[in-house]
Amino acid sequence: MIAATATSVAQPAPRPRRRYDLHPPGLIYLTTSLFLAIGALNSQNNLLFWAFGLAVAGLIVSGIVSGSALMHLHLQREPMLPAHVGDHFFLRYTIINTARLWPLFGLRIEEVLPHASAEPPLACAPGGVVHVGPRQRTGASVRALARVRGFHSLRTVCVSTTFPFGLVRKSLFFDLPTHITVRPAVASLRSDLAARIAPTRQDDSTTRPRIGQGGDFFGLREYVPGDPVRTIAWRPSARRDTLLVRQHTTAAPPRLWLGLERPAPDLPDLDFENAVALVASVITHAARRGVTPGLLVDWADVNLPPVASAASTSRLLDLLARLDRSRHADGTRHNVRPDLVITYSDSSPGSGQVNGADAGAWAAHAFAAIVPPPPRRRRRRWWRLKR
Amino acid sequence: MNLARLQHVIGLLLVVLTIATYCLADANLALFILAVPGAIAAWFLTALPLGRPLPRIGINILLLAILVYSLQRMLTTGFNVSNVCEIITLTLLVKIMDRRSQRDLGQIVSIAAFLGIGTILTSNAFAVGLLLVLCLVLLIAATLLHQCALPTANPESVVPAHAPAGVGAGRHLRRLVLSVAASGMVISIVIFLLMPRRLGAGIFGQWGNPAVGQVTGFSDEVQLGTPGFITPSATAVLDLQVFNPDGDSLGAEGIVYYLRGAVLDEYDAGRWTRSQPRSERQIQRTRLDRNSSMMVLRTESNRWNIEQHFTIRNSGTSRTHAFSLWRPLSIQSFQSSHVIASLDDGMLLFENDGGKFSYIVRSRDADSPRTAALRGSPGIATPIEAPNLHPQRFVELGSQILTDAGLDPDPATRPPEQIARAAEAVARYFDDGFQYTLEAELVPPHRDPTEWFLFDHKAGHCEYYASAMAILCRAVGINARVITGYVDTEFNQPTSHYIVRQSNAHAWVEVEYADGAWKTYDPTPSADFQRVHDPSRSLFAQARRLFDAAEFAWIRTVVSFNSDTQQSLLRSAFNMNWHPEQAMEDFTLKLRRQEPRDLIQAVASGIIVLAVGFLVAFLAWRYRQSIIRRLVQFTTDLWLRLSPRADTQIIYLRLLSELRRRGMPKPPGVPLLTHVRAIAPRFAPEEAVAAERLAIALYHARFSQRAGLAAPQAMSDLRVLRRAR
Repeated sequence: MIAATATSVAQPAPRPRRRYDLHPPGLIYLTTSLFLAIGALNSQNNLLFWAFGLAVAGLIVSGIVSGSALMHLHLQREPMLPAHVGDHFFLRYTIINTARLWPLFGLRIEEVLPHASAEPPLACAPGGVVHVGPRQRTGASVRALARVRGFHSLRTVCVSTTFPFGLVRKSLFFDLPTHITVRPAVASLRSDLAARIAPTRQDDSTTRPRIGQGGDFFGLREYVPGDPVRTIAWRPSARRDTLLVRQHTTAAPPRLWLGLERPAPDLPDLDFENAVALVASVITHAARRGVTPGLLVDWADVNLPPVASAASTSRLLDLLARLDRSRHADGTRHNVRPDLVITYSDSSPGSGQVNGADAGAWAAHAFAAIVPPPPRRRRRRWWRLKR
Repeated sequence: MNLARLQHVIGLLLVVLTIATYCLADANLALFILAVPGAIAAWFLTALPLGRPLPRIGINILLLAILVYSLQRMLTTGFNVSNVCEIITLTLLVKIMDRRSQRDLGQIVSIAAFLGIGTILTSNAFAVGLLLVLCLVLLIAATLLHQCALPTANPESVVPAHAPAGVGAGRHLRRLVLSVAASGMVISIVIFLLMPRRLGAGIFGQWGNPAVGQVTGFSDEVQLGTPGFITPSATAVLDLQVFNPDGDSLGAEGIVYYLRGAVLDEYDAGRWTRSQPRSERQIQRTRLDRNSSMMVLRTESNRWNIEQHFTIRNSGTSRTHAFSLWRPLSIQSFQSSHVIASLDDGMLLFENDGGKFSYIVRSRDADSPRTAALRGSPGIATPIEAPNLHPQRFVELGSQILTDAGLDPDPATRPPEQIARAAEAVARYFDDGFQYTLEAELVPPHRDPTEWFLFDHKAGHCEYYASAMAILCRAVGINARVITGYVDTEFNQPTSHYIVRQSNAHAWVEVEYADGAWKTYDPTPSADFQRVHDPSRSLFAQARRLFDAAEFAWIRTVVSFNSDTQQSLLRSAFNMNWHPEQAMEDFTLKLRRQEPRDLIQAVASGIIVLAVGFLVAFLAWRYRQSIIRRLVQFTTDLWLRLSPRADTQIIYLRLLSELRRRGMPKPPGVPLLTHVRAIAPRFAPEEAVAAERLAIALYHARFSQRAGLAAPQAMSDLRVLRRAR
């Protein structure tokens, strides 16, 4: 028993990696200090000697203040909710200062993204915290933008500060691995498409009465201990000489089976992503309108029947987040025929197919507008004294 | 903590105070009137939400205008500190109107810091130093606020975005500003005291003007007929302390000393100048420095009876007069300079870098009658001749004065003993019928100014009186010359020194009463002299004297701090011999002598010292946490030993800390004893027993009726756990 418990003992968190960067203001400060020293020695001006002493004191005090403060900094990552492509969301953290004396000021928090590609799946703006007192904790957040659908890893968080004098940027790199699900973009649908999301098939699955809490009578059954007394049908019970209880029907919500056509190998990625986004938009729209969506993508071996619950809708969107166009399943045939199939080519109207390649036309807002372009680099104008 | 509001207030105060300090240092009233209200107006007019920053095109036009203005200034007046500071001030004003983001605020703080450095290069005055200390505190506060706001900055706005802040942010920041300022001052003072002086002085030429005040009102020649020799300015020019050979102070209120500057003995058309030296032997030129600080002017230097310690606050030029009492016998200065001494008339000149400097003069102020008699009779002077001057009128008036005084007007027959009385009679002639005024009027054309003053106008200032007396004395055969300099009338009792101001500039006459012996006569009426030169007794004047006393202390202790005071201070306080410049000179000498052994030894020593320093720094850095932890443990151990009732909380925290250190921290919610038993297999047997015993003891102390903990046993168990490191 002891050994089993011992394995559950938490291991101490690895110590964060430190880094010190001398950035341009620090370089200017050092150069100015050097000139002060030369000027003081050259002119023997005592106030310049004093000014040089102040410059050196600034360096020493800066090292003491920032170094001591960061030694007691701890960071925790808060749980993350799924995001949608094109949505701004927040990555939240808790900053803990365990120092007894030194407060922390001017902290900058930045998510170090593992992807160094031109268009990373997530774009994060640095967040900041003005102050964390000694033995205090405070929440912090980083604003992020999801660019690419998928299941993305986040690993390192950088907490840095240039406090107190901006001479050196001191950084702590915390290794806090986690994942975030980025679901496809969701747009409001055009009215004609939205109107088509309705119960289209009058099959048994949608009309058969089921036992529930509705007002219509369904049938009788024998009493089971625990049934409410008010459900007992006294007259039939008297006739049968045994206790019977009344059962009522409930209205099953309409269902919508959605399908996504297998993408051609030469289909542009953007068309495929737009089609997936259209599927997600339809699912979201259907769930909002009380239609239970289900998803059938046979080429990716995805078959999730309609279930009337928020968890099921989330599961559908998570599946779409991970949908991989390169995946090829064995092509198992399913008995279900989707009510609405998103395709990549023109199709005859009313055939139950929607052209996903033109998803922007079906959505009230084009998806291309949701996914923002990569940030433009600002031109630096030296004559405006910009650093 | 309202960060934006604090930044707004502190930034404005910093800008205004920095500009005002510079304007005070440079005495630039025009810039003050332009820049300070301009900065305040620009700050409020371009601050959101009421105002908006100036459009970028306007900013660029203004920057271009500053560039053109600075080029024009450089071409006309040269590249100097005042020009650079003016340009920095104007740039600061423009930058205030261009506040769009936090970076702009940071740039404003940086520009203000550079203006502060320029202010130091401009002046070392006490008031400037005080204001700079205030600027420093504001600068630190502004920098800290800027660095606080920078991580939360909105790139498009000066106002920092709302960001989380803990409890007591303002209080913590206030304490931090004060502690940073205090520690910065302490460190800077230590560096100020230890920085080697005279090492590398002047290797890049002169840059900056460490001036304290204005250029003095003293002039090395007299030009009559032009207004204003004596200016009413109260700017302090020099400080003087006077001692006798025993070291006792000779200064007191009411005792006036005449500080000689220029000796003028040639007159031409209302202008007194100095004649050319008769021979090169009468001019002595000597270089004074730390190794050779004394220059002896006369062989009887051991017979001095008055020692004067001068501190010139600002010479203004590279060549200046060294003021002294008659007759200077020796001069001493530890500052590197050249002294040019005229041996016959005792005039002293300094050639140095200008600015503030100190020197000591030892004089013998008067000869005894026996010595004067031994010197013999002086030569007979001839009347002065100059255009528009009628010497005969002077001869007649001089003869009349002497005759009225019962003295022989004929120099050929007049006994030498009467010369002093004759000069006194001439000096006292001006007491009646003459009016003292600072407003000099234009002299009528084709009239000599002195003759016009003496015979017609009968109103003027001290130069007219001195000139008239000197010409009258010459007219009756008495050798006389005009002296310009200062009189010290303002004695500061707390510091036992005289403050000499511009308004104390004066002109008087020296008369030769024996061969080579001269005596001072002041023809200015004594009532007018007192009215002009006596220090004011008003409340404002007394406050000003207190300020002057503080400034004197500032100059003597801070501004005049040099290698000698540094060495004496370190020797007396720490018994430390601090001669870095001497060591450097020796090292340089050895290099020149090419002594490779010494060179290798020095380089090796330097490398060893550096290596040891780096090693110590590295070890301190590497084991800093261990050292701190041991220190904390030692302190708590001591506390536990001193306290008979052991603190359960300390023992508990110590045990938790030990577990954490070993990588087995107690998870929250798990009882201590359970956790200790769970991790027991990872301990050595005796450690597991000790840990469990400690946990049980803590349980007993916490939950049983028996208060406290058996401290010796607990400490012993903790030691067992710690020993495993």
